[in-house]
Amino acid sequence: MLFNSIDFAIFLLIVFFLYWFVANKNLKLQNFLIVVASYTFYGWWDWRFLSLILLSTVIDYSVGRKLLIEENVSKRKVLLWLSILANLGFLGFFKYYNFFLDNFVTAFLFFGTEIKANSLNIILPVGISFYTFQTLSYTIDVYKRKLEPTKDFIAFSAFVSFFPQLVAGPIERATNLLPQFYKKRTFDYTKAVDGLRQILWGLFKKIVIADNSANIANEIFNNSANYSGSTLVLGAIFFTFQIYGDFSGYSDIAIGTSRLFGFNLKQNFAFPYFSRDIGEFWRRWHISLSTWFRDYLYIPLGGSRGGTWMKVRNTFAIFLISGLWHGANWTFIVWGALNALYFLPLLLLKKNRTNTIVQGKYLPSIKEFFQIGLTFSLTVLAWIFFRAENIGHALSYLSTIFSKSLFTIPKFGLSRVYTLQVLIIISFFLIVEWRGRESQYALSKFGFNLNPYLRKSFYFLIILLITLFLGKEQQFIYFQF
Amino acid sequence: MKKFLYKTLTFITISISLICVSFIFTNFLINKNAKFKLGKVNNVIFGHSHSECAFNDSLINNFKNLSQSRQSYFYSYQKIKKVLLQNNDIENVFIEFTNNQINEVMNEWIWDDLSISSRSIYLPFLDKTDVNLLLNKNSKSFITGSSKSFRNNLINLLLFDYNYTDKMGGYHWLNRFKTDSLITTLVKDTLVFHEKKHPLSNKNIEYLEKIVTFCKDKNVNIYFVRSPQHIYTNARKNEKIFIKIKNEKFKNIILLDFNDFPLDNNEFGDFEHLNYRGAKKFSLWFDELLKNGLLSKNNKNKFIFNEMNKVRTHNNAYK
Repeated sequence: MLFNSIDFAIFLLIVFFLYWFVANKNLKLQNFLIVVASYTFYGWWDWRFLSLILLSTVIDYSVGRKLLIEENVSKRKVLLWLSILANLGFLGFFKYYNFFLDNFVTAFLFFGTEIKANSLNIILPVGISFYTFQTLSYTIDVYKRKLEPTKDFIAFSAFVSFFPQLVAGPIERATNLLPQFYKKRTFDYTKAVDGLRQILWGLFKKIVIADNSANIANEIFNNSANYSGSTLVLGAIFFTFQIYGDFSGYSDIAIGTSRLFGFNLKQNFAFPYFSRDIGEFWRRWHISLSTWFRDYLYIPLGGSRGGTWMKVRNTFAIFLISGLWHGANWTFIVWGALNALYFLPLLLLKKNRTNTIVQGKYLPSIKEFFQIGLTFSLTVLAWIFFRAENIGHALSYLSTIFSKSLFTIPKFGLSRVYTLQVLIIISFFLIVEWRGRESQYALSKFGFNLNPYLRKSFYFLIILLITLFLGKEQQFIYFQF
Repeated sequence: MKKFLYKTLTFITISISLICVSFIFTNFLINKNAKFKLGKVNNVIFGHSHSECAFNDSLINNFKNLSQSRQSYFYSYQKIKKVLLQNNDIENVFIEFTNNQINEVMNEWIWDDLSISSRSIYLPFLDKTDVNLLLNKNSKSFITGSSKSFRNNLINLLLFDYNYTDKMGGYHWLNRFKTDSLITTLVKDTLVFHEKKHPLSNKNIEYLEKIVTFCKDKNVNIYFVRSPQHIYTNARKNEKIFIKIKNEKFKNIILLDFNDFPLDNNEFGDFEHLNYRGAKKFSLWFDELLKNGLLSKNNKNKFIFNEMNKVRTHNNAYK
């Protein structure tokens, strides 16, 4: 079920009414309703994979219970590894089996040995990377005694399968989300209105920005051999907005929906394209994944303690694994490596923690403007690998960009008028994002100093733009991860 | 909760109502102001890519090509209504009527995602029956198509751009020479054509009937035209049923059949479409045909046959 579909609107309405009008007096019933709703939401796509979520839930719940009573360090480690292997085993099989198999075969062939291995026709369960990391955070935190294991199986099931963020995040920590299932939720008007506002902004990002940018980016990337370097730059810029609108739009809808049910999820995007260096960009892009890798991989590997070599190694490890997390393709690994390379100078000059977004100013200074521009350009360049079909495609795309044709007037794959319309809408989007950059999301406090009617007129304008730029329902990019 | 529900529902209701009113109002304004003026032209042709590529109207006197590729009769009907209402000089309407236009695939050309999206410009001109058809067959695409149409209408209104003549088709200068390579593949793969049963698009045929009725009501002569096709085309495998439909449903309409017009391979873009060379040759010849009184002849197809033979003889003489 897609957030940008009529099916979801009806589903949300039904669940909302049952939650606040039927199950509102009983916390267990509310949690149970969330589990049923979440399983329905996921099963709408493919009910067969519900068993995977259930199995992950049972394993981690049981491991958590055992960890509560087990004091022996070695046995606790065994339990932890049991959970890690089971969860990563599912992920590895469904997501990476064919990738590793193909690469092994190629590697053996390179050394002159031909081995026969049949790849499997495996369907990738939607959101497996997201809920796997979420349940892992629970077991690791329980193992580290940062979190009391839950005795409430329903609450735990609701935590694992919570439908707003089940298939594309934000990846919630058990320490933040699980305790919210223990507490009675009461309807909060301000919170609910804020939730609706964030859903509206998320829909705008997805339907208007992402889907319309996608129309142009897809045309250019799919026919890149026919276009000039300048057009390919344009295609990469459109993809840059597509992926941001798509993914942060999903996060906004997820966070907003959770607020309607009385839950607070963590911010996942904090205006990353206004970052002044790559370090800042990664503190603002997919925050829930970056912090997950920081806490469960980077710090256990030694983090920024130790010598320079150690820091460089750990930085590369985290970026490469982050790339691989996105998909079983070398393009994602190169994308990760490229970001690690961008990050390296900051790390070596110890400037990786200094920059924060331009605060309290109407406009950035000229220096800040150039810093933002440079960071944005580096990001656009890296996205080419993320979007390309394979490394060859990415390299040929880049070689055309860095050719004479870069200095020609770009051609528009689709109509010039449509491309212009999308560019105007992206400019409007950037202005609103810039104005709202110090809030949780752009619309959060946008126009609060205006007359209420003017503010509502602005919300109406957003709805009107959604209506005007409505296209065919398109899946969210991160569903495939 | 009451306050939340009340305020949310009020806001949503007002927003939806405002959008619906704006949508209907812009449709009304476009419908009222859209210009389909062709100037002093007596002959117009409508159809899909076959006629779009075959009739170079800059070479044919007193003639306008309003064909558009991948266009079914459903959309041609909307265009014909508007054009005939605003152009009293039109005396003859030519409609491309060729083999593939009776096939089931034409249903897709009416209501599949691509057709609705690419033909959203026509949405303001649909009547209730047409709207219901699209809504029943593909409501999701109809909604997204309406959104696109709404956007285009607003822009046209803002720019006072009411000229629709150039937005609804015209001659397509096709620069393609694929015929020889297609023949090579055809020889390798399948030389023998099989007569197959083809499901029909009753909807497309129904809209062709509507076109005929509309033209008759407006006292405009209507002729079916079959543009030249290559001898190797697969499209003619439904020839028998094509002729049957023509004779049963459109008995009184004359089919001007140019299917066998003699052209070389390098004058075809592919088996079904003339490239610019073929279009030039055919259009100049067709212009002469009109000048020589084709439309006043009693046996038009005999006249066409004889004229085509002259071209064939001429071609042979120079080979």
